[in-house]
Amino acid sequence: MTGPAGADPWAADRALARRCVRGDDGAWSELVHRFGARIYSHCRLAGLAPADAEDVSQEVLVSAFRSLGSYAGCSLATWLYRLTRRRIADHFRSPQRRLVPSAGIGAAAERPSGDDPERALASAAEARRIRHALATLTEPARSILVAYYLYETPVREIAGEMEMPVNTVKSHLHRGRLALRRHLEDRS
Amino acid sequence: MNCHELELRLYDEDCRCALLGEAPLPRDVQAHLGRCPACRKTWSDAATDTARLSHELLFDPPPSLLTPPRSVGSEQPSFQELIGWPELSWGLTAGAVLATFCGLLPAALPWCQWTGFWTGAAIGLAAAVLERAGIALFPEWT
Ligand SMILES: [Zn+2]
Repeated sequence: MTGPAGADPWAADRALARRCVRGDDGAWSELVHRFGARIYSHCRLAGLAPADAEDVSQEVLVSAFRSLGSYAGCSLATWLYRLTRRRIADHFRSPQRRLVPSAGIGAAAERPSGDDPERALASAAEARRIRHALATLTEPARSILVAYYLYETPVREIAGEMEMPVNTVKSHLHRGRLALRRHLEDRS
Repeated sequence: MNCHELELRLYDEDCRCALLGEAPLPRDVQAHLGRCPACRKTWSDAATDTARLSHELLFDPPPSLLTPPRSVGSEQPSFQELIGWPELSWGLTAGAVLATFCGLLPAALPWCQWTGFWTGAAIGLAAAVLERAGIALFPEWT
């Protein structure tokens, strides 16, 4: 998590972005490893089919590389969240998109296998339930929860991105989290 | 702090860190939890949710996504991507500074300030463009 404390809370992110712009392969790998899974997960949670999610995530990363020179004013996580959100919106406007029913959002068996198969299965089931519960939330609560929990974006930055007061974002987060919790309790 | 304020306080960054066990409880939160059993339950639920939501919302990405295509790493930014408002601002600022400096010289001639402005602007713009292009003039500063 990048904690915004001190004079320049995003100094490390800006340094990473600069190294990427200079063509430093190590920096690019670091960025992709830090954010690739979050971008892909964001696409899947928005209801994209796996193949579409992969395509859109690749587009986001290419677009990020091209525009990293203009990155400023927020954490990299927030910047990439914004980029991904726009790409997902573009995708839903395109006629070639593949539709995934909301029940299918959590259906992919994509959890780490680990050493203990039973534990891995239980963990996969829990992940599926949570993702399905998230799909039942309405906007903007769902997007706010994705930004806060998946990208670890601070509330203040989400408020700026969504153009709403900080306390409104917090209320959405709180109500959304309680709705998820209720949904999970009802199903178990 | 009342119970509603605590509910909203849960989503501040210091509380997120405390919920994840990465930082101590903020004092104001600790004081409220000390006297409010209902909010102790709220806090405990939030800790469980914060840990599991950060983890369980993540899908395993396809391996191809984690291997950036070579073409991406070798692409160079275009001219339009190299000159934007920040670069122009740097140019104008450097020009203004040098023009002011030239104006302060004891034997300043009328054309001296304009020459200073354009020289400063050119140097400022070039430095900002080189910086954006990835050719840092002072790499140890970045
Ligand atoms: Zn209370």
